Amino acid sequence: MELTEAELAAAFRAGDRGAVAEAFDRHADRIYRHCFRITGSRADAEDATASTFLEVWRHRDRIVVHDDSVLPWLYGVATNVCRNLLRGHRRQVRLSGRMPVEVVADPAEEVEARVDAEARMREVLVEVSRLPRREQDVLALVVWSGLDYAAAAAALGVPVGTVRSRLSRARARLSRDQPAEGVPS
Amino acid sequence: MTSTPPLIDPLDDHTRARLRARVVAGVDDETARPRRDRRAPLAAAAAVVLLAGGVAVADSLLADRSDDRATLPSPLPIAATSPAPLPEPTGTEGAPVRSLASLAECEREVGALTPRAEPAVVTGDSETFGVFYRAGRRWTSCERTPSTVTVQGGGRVDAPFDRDDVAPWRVSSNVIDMAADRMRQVFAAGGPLPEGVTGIGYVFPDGITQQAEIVEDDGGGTWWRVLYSPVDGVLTDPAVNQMDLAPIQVQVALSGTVHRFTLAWGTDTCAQLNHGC
Repeated sequence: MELTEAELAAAFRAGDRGAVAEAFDRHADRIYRHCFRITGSRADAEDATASTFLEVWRHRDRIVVHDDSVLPWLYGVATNVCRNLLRGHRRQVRLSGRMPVEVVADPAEEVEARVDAEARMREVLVEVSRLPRREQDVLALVVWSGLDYAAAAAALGVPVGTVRSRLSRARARLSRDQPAEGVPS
Repeated sequence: MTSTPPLIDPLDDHTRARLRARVVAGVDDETARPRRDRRAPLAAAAAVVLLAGGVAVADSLLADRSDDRATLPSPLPIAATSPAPLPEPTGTEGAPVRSLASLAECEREVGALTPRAEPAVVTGDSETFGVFYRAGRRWTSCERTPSTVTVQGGGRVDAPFDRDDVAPWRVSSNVIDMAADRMRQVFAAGGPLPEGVTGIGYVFPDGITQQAEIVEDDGGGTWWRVLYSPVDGVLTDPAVNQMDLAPIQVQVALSGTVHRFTLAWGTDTCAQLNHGC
């Protein structure tokens, strides 16, 4: 019989290594997509996905079940992992004095589609980069990943009211110049 | 307008298997790796001197190192007052106390931020405690609650008091228990005590004033720490937007004068899952 999420969390806390594999099987796709939307890079999203589950294991005695799911906790950890990854990239760019390497398209159809998705995602990230980071995080969790306000609040460790106000400000900022397709009112 | 993300395919089978194997191997590696010698932080923990309100380091910090206890100084007596008790963390009922593992979490977090940092003093109890670290003349702190680890600092240990600088007084906040109608969060602040400062108080918008605990390390350094976890009032209402609340006021006593600082919500308070201000 499949473990409930609360039982899965208990297995984590008990140091059951199988809990990590189980959590990965259940939630890796969602975490990967979330990381892709933050980093704009498939390679980074893959790295961040693996790192997220390792971080969850390292901090397993702090795992939180919200509304019968460990997913908000995973999203919170993933958000931090992705932000740290991006900070590392920025440091590298500053240190080397170079711009990030451009993605070079491969003629193969599959690769082309991947490059298209990355290019498209990076355009989106440029668009939302004028938002403060905390508003970007709320946007990514609520609008792009579909978490409700309470789950996003649990993921970010802030009150629900703060999630509401950050999202409201994000919408206002993004619609200041023109209407935002991806930011429903 | 381009703020609609593209559709993203799930992980393909090959990538999924590769990442899964990487995670499992990482967990195996973590499990097999021997732990660092924690004698230094434990010695520091046992050397805490409480000068004002606060709690002594609990014996349980040493609980599963009983073979080392005879070589370490005894913990000092519990002081007269202590911070408000913190709630049990959501979803961790029945979890064993992991004092040493918890201290290791702080070491790992601080080590990433401030290499070569050494613990100067530990204060709190076995589940909720603060550790102040020094790396030369820089400092870092780690505040550990049952469900969060917050690292902050990075300034100089000998920074003088500056009446125009609010930065040393900023607080981190973390939600530690969330329900539909009620939440518990913890506010934490601390750092090296500037010379001449004799008292620090935080006035929260629920009307509660929390006095700083002041501790001295065995090298003669003095540190302050404020920890507050409201049990009722506006700060426990999940529907309340903090930005609408009155700001937290900080009162600092220096040479017979009380200096006041106002912490702007969002700017001078940091809400985060893991990393501090």
